[in-house]
Amino acid sequence: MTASLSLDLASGVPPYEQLRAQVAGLVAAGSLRPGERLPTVRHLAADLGIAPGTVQRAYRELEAAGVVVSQRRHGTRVADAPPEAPSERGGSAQVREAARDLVRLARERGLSDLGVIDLVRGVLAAGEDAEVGTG
Amino acid sequence: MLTPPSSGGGFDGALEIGALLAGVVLLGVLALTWVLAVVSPPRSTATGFPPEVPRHERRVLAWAVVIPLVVAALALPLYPFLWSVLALADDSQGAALLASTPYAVGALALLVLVVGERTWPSQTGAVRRASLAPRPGSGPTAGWLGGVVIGWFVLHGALLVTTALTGKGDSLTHVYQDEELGRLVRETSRPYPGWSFGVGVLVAAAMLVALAFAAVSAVRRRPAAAGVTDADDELLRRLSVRRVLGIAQVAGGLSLAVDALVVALVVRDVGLGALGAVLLAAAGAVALVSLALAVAAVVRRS
Repeated sequence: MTASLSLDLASGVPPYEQLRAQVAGLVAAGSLRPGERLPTVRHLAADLGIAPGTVQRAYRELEAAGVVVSQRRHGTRVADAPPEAPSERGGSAQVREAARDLVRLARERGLSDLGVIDLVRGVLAAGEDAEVGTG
Repeated sequence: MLTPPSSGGGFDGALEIGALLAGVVLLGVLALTWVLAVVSPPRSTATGFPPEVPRHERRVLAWAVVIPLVVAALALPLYPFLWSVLALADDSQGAALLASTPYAVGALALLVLVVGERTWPSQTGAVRRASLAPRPGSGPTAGWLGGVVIGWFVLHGALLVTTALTGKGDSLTHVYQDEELGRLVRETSRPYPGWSFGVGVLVAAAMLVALAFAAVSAVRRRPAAAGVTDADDELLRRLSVRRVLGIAQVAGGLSLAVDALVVALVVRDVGLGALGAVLLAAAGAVALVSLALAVAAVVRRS
């Protein structure tokens, strides 16, 4: 399935930050794989009806974080070894699976996406050990 | 009414009738495109298109019919007046203006389509969504139909350069040995396209080709239709590119056919009957092929 992203212009979070966070999240979740191409700045800006500079800034920050690489000839791609990308082996694959289980459970129980994010943020802020189960 | 006041005959007759008929046929193709958009909206490969997509398509195509029609309706009665206002140097330039009728109709329609692409419905709400799949090869390419547009242009150029090199001014003279009379016979006929005519028509042709590829570029650059799958968005772009190139190539093909018809009649008049017949057949074939390609391009909705 093709990854997509959404932008809420009414939200207090700047649009470039929303884009950055979502692309980084999709890479971390494995929805965007290393080497996968992203749309051009112009196309993504046109599709979302926003200024190209907004997308450019998001891509620039993602590049600075090592999530994507931009090349003049090949456009913007997911980096070969992005910092938050889960490897297929080892603990990070389990974390990804656990995150999926959390989302599945939250949706079954009627929790909004924003609610899930707030919950995870809260748990991270509290420094608790996350007990993620399938319920 | 169509003969300019200063004209001493020249490029009237076959050229006037052919050019105007070609313009009318082209308007017919545009009207067919609009009718098809009304009765047969594009068939989605998935969940369907939001209503603003077919609505925008119908509106743009209606303007693509109405604007050339209105311009033609205004230009025709004013034609002799335009002729004097433009202060054309000779009959050939006026004839080139007339022969460019299909190009003018096609160019106006393409201009409307470019505007339609530039005003393609984009997302306006607070919450917006976009696919992260890159468009393959930056969108649909002109493909073989783009090759046909270039092909008609090249053939038209070749025809007009050949006539300019073989004729003198706006006439063609052929000297041959008549076996029955037993002497050399000199036949002259006009109107035969010369440099003055050819350059004018080729400028119009080049403008049409440039507009066609500008429209294809606008299709590639337009925003993805909101709320449709990547496959459906790709389908809409493909349909738009096909429509643009179908209209461009029929304008080019009909214009080439009209000029080939005029040349065929002159060539036949100067005693080159076989060559005239070949050119006449070629003119008919180009007109039919371009018309068939245009209808096929706009009828196919998937």
